[in-house]
Amino acid sequence: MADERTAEIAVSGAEDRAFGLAEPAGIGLLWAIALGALGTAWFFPLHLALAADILILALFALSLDLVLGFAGIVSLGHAAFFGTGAYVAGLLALAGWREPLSGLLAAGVVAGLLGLVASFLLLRGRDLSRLMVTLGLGMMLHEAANKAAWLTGGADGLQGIRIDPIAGLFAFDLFGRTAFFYSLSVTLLAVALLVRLATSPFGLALRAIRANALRARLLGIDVERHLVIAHGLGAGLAGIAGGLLAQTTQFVSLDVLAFQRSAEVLLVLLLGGAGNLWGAVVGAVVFKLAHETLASITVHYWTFWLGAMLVVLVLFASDGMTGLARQLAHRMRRRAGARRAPGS
Amino acid sequence: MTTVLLDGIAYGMILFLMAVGLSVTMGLMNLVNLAHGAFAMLGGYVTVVSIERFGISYFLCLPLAFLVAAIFGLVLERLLYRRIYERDHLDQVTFTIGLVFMAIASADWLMGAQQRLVELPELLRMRIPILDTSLSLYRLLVIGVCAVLALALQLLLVRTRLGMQLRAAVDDRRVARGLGIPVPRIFAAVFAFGCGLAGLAGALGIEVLGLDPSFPLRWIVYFLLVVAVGGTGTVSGPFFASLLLGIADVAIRYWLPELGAFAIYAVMVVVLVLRPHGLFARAG
Amino acid sequence: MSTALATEALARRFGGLVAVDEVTLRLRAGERAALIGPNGAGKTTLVNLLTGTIAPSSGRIFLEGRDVTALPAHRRARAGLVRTFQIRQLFDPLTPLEAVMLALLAARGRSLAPFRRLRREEALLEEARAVLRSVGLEGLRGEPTRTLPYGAQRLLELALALAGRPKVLLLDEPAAGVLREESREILQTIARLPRSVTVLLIEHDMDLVFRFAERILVMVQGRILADGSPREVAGDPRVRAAYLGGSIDVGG
Repeated sequence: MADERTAEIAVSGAEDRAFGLAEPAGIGLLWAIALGALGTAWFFPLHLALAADILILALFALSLDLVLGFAGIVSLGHAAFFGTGAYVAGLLALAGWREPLSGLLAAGVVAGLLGLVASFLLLRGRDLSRLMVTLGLGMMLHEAANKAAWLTGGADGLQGIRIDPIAGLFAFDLFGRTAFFYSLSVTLLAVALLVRLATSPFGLALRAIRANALRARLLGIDVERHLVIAHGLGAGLAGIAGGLLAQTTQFVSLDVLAFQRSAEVLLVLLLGGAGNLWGAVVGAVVFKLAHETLASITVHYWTFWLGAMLVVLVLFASDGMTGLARQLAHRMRRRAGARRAPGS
Repeated sequence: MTTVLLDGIAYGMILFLMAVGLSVTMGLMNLVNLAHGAFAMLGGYVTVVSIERFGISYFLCLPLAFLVAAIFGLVLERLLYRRIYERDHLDQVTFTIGLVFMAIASADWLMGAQQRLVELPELLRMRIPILDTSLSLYRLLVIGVCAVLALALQLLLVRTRLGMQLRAAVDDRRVARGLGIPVPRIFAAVFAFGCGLAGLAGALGIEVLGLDPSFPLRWIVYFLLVVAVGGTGTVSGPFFASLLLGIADVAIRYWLPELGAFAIYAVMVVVLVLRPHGLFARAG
Repeated sequence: MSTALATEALARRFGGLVAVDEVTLRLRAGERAALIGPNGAGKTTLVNLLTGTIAPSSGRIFLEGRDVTALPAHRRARAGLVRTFQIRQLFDPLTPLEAVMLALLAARGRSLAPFRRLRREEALLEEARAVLRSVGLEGLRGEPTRTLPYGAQRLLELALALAGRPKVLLLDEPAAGVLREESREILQTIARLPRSVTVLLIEHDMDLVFRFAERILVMVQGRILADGSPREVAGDPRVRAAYLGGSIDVGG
């Protein structure tokens, strides 16, 4: 109050934080993914398949972040949409439609429509019944795919998928170079879209609904419609991630729909931290690297440590790694502020 | 027809024994414990090891399975579960799925991935004729034990002082504490007892449910279905829900095998969507 | 004078309990009215019925002559029927600027825009700042709501309601639990509202009620017991009995 100008500066500093996920943070995420991926391609050219895997998992986790982190819809069956996308892309290719981009789009559209329909089942319940309904839906779809062997190949999965070169130029190669750049491009596009969405009126409304749905409704927000659209978009993105997996690995197995995959992506998101987009990406990287290390010892180890990670996460860091990082940054900023204060 | 009905009843009874602990803890502590099936699996493996390694009689294995699972439950409640009572359901689900994975990996490592069976005593393999079919003494034992336990639980809840305290704690935790009811100790006791019952069900049900490391995961949906249909916090609700589920599941497997578990999952979704509030009114 | 808000035999039963019992009332446009009554009289249920959070067992509700009984809560809010809350009902992770922006967007039905950028909504941002300025919260607009002091949260509660372009404003104990100075600030903000806004104040603090209201409605056991000017109501023996007798305290 004493000095009008310092107050002004303080306010404009606050302005950037006035929008929770500020655009600079989102654009930073785009750069981080691009540089991280290209750095990997440059320094570890033999690990491109793993890098593509990480990107696809990140995309899948990002789609859950939209549903859980932004809209606040808890889900134990998100693999239903991932798996749907994978089967759609795989079946299209097997049926002779081998053009990758339109195949991927179809995967997203079908999964998105399924997500829209499913979201109406999720509107009425609270967290607990949502968890169970999504779990049940996921299991239903898994069982349906298992029984409909004439379509899905049952336990054998879809084999012999062939995909045309991207844009007629880049053929999928043995080293996974095309698969890697393809996954990277799709992921970057999706992140750009999500950043845009997070900093839009819609993104703001979703965060408000998650924080207090009753109040949001009484401000005039059509809560149900927002949730349905968010869930549909999230399901569509998950479908694209699944389609990407089918096209790049040229194989679809029943476990794209398995409960483990739903639990895994939930872990990835919670590990990284939900609701800020960064968490999904950080979680995917950490998770996959941990998987590579631990699973190479024994398979049992991996399941065990996966479980242990979940337990420890809930007990000690329920905001995930980005939550921890933010706390740390906050503490450091406060300390720095305290040091500067006497001088000003 | 009679076969399906009798098999369904025996199977439903075991489901009840497995799920009743979950239903009570959900109603009482508002805790979603997806790892409940791990205690049933523990009871199963205790039985297998006791019989194969130590040659203990099957009949003695049943109380042993109860005891081991209950003690395990008590220890885990004191060490871990009590820390998540106040958390939201997503945290509880994440946490208990973590426990499920750890249980699966441990079982796989210690006991191997294959299906385990036990040799039932000669006596239990005898069959007695009923109507147009015959019933093994094993199934009769299952039905008898579970029916007696269900009745005992109902009486315990309605007639005894412990039951009264328990119901008071369900209705209002703070008031109950104010009345001098040792709520945390009751929670621990109930949790352990529920785990014990699951352990007993695991031991009793090897013949019906099978036993391999993926056991806790495979039966999650059945537990949840029992709770969803039967409601939480009572004994009779889960009892009738289990019977219904048991008979329906056996009937579907018998007459419509191509549907598989699909029908059960579909029923669960439909029930939850139609009655999300009514069914979970107690669990919040 | 035209009617802003009216109910016709509005009732709500919970099982055997009648929380709101055939209430018929009429608020004229621009009126400053207060609704008082002992605990459990049904005031909160009445507010919930009016805003559409719960459905009536019978009866009808009119906003500016239009029957809104079947209108969902968010549509009523958009039509200008706005309320504040007695207990904290804010968006913890959002900043005041974000929350007020949201209220402005929601009132215009423009929150469903996934690809427009918030930062480009310059006119709305300016308006949001103006709303925050009017309640004295501009300096705190970038802080997460959960870190704001209690008094500031009460003011934000008010700012959210103001941003909703209210025609009828239901204020549920706006000064509950705040210090005297802050309560004066809140009252001043309410007093400054233009006459185009009809205000119904639900309040326990008689001091506040008698300073603010031109008309007082007294609710007891789900019914409107008395309705008139502050002087009339203060002199009503039935009201005195209901309040001073202390015997009336119905649960629910």
